[in-house]
Amino acid sequence: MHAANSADAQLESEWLRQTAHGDRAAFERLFRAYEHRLYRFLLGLVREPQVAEELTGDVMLEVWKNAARFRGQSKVSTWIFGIAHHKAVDALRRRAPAHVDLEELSAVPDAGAGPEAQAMADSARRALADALLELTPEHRAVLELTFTNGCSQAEIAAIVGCPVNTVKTRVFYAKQQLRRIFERRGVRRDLP
Amino acid sequence: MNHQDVAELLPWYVNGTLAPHERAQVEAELASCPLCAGELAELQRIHAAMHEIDQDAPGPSESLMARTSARIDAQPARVGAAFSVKDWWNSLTAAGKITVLVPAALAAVLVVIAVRQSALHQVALSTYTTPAGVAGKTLDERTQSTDQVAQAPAPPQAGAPLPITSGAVARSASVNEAAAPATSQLQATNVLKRVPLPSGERPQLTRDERLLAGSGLHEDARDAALESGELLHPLQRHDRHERA
Repeated sequence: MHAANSADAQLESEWLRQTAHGDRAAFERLFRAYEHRLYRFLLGLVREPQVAEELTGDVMLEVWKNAARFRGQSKVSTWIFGIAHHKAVDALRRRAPAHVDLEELSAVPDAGAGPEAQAMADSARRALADALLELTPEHRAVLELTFTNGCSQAEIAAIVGCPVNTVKTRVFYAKQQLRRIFERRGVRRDLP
Repeated sequence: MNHQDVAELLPWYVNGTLAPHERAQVEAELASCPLCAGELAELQRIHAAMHEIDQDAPGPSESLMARTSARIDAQPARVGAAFSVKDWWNSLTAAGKITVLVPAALAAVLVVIAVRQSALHQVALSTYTTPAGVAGKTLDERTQSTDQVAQAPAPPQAGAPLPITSGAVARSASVNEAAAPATSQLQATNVLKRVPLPSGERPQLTRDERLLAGSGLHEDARDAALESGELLHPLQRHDRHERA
């Protein structure tokens, strides 16, 4: 993951090892390093801030309880995001899919009509943020892991529990889906 | 690699996690395929926008850490982490214990070896019969003087072996109980082959003799001493006794 270079990954491994021995200070450092990333990843999947926050706490509690089981066969980030993905999928199964009211989404004008470049960029981001909400959790997850969290194909496969080829096709179809959403909403084809 | 294969790798070309050989394949395709180049530009925009969205997104509430800590406190106490050799080793090296423990362990091993060797040494002394004039020296001393003996060897006095004391037998018997390897009989057979009886018979070895034959200790020195006549092998002793 891009957010965890080699030195960071080593530091996180050390925090996790200390956590496995009951070190609360090390656990807090790990918590602070992951809470925002996990929350945003989970929010993208479950789409409800309160649920995403609750799940973030659940994930970190699992990290505390199972730290001793981590064997270092993957990055700490891959392990933690794997727990998060599992929790999110469980939460989505327990409730009906969230209804996304397209009318409530911010109006996204054709970016070419914007008077200023900054406004165009803001609109483009809003358009993408809104379009991401329309994706299925599976498609959203692989896009988040690829572009926001900088995961490799193999890491994503480990996190979501599917073959690497499935990861590739999911990202490919997620991007196709984004295009269709943009076209349907009148957003210029090459946005964002 | 065709266009579709390359298109599927482009997201990871953008986030910089492709393996070097995949990256080279993508770059080769990008140089000649305008369709792929268009895909790349689109993915780079998505990548940048998703990063910005992520930066602007709110995080969880400040109280989440405290609430999670409270949940941990409410958990039953952990029995303890599963044992890990790596963690154990790390704890030793981190605490500096290794600098004390390794020499201590080595010293303990050396003491055990020395005690064992000393006991077997006693067996060797009690089993091999020495000619007159060499008696009273330890096996090592006699081994060290082998060269001198070879230059001016005293002829072995046939039929006059020194008796094995009952104390030595008792001592070696106790060592035998503790240390005789299971293969001693087999190795004793090898000794018999090296020094056969003139009659071709295989006399019975005592327990002490089997122990010595199976111990493997001082074998070279023992053979040299046997060749020089400094020591008498039990079988030679038997042979001389027969001839006498």
